[in-house]
Amino acid sequence: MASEIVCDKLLLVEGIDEIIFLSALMNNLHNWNTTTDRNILYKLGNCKETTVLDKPDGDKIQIISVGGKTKFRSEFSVFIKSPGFKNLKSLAFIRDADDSFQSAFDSIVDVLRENNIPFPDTPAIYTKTQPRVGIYIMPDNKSAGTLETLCLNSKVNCPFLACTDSFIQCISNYFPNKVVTHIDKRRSLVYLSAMHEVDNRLGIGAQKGYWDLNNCCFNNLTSFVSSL
Amino acid sequence: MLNSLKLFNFKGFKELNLRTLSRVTLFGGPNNIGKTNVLESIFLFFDRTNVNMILRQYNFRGLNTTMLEPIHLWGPIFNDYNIENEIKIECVVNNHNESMKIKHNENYNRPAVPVQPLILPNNPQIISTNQNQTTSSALDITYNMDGRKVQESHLTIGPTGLELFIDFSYNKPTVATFNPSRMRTNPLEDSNRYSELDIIGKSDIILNYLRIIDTRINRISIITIGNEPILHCDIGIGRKIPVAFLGDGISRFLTLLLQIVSGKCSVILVDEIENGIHYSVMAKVWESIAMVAKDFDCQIISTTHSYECLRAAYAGIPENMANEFRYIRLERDENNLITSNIYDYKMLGTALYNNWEVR
Repeated sequence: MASEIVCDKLLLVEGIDEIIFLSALMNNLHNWNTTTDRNILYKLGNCKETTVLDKPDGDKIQIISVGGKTKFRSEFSVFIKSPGFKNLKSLAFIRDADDSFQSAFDSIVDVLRENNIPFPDTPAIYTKTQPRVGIYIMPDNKSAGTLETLCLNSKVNCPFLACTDSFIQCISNYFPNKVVTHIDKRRSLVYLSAMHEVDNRLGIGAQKGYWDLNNCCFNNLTSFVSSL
Repeated sequence: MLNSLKLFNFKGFKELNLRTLSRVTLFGGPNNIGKTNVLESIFLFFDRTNVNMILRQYNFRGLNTTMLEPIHLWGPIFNDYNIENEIKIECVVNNHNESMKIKHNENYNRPAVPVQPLILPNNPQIISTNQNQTTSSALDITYNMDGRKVQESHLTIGPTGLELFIDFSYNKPTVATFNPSRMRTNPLEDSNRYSELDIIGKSDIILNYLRIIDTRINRISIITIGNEPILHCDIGIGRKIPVAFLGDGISRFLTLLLQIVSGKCSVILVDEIENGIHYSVMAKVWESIAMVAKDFDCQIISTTHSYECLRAAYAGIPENMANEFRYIRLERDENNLITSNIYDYKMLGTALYNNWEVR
């Protein structure tokens, strides 16, 4: 089954893990559920790169994984040829800031500009164009970091979170010539490994309640997705 | 080679601009978007000296009867049946700008036409006349090449059906063939083409490619049954059987190969090319079609609804022909006009690799 645009409100994310995470987040806070629309389920089949969420008011939002930020840049010009793209009413992007919020934001703006798609001036604010376009940069539209950073922020009061830092510090002593990168990714992996059922996927962690999805650190993100 | 195509007021298209057509061009898109219409427009463009140029198109669609009135006879080829508008088909063919204009003419003055011989019972003699008949409805068809009018003709409703009057014609159109999705192939045409290849010792080319679909085929021969020569094959069961008995897929593939290898058709139009072909051989079939088309300087323009077919085309088209392939998806925009999305080989590969919908 192919990943087909089946809704007029579309959210593009980096990977499948983000799809699972956002589905769990929006389900927890706003009771959005994976669609039961049989026509949509028939069209999407068992395609893992996309899901459709039903809002309680009957509206539908589709999330598609673009398979990584590098690919996104080079392949977006092909993606916009997909059936249904021209009929979109809203289009949103969520990606990690990584080392720089500004670079990440500019990177998406550049891709949109290159493909003659409207783009916002500021993150988390939708354009008033057709389609409406919005960009959200993890973790908070201003800092460096990733979705993992945001998730870890939700557990900032967790007593054993400090153990993750100790573990990484300890291990890094064995690799004195290597700079430890992607700290929050590593911390989240260590954190998840401590859970009852071991699964290193952040989205599955959200489904299992390992992150505190009610924490206010997710408010801006849920607000952005709700406004799609 | 048809390099580009522009349509105005033809069937479902108010206007359609296809800027890039390649040696192998595939059309996709939802139902009723006009994929077959595109093929029909190309066929009409090249079939313009055939009095049945329009009726054949209805026949391809399975319509065998119509009424002898302009709105029924040629209304269907006009956008929204509006016969007052002019149809225009503009092409670049082998880097020449060519165009065809079709206009309904309510008052066409038929030229001198001999009336059917009439034999009177009491005084047997043949009476004929050359006087002008009254005016009648016609389609005025003009054809330009690089800005010069090179053909003018009139398709009109005569006493016995459609008649085509060609005022002048200075060029020989490219030969195109149309393979409809629903009609069986013509066994006589296939036999004739095969015979011509056999005479010049090229029939083995066909055999080798057919084995891609069915490895049991040892030999092909023409056997006359009644008055009709029919292609038979030997699949090792102790007797030869008509190729058609092997199935629709192989019959269609055979017809296509014969059309290409015969060297008489420059543009081959195939509606729903995947029909009858099993997915497991589809990539090989595409490879064969592409290679033979290149070897015999043919252009293949086809439609498909099938994702498998697109995957197979991507897998099968040889790398050295990547720049000779296009996939064009038609879609309706917010103004209800039909537009095109053109994928080159690499773009199609990207979309397929990501599992993105492209149909």
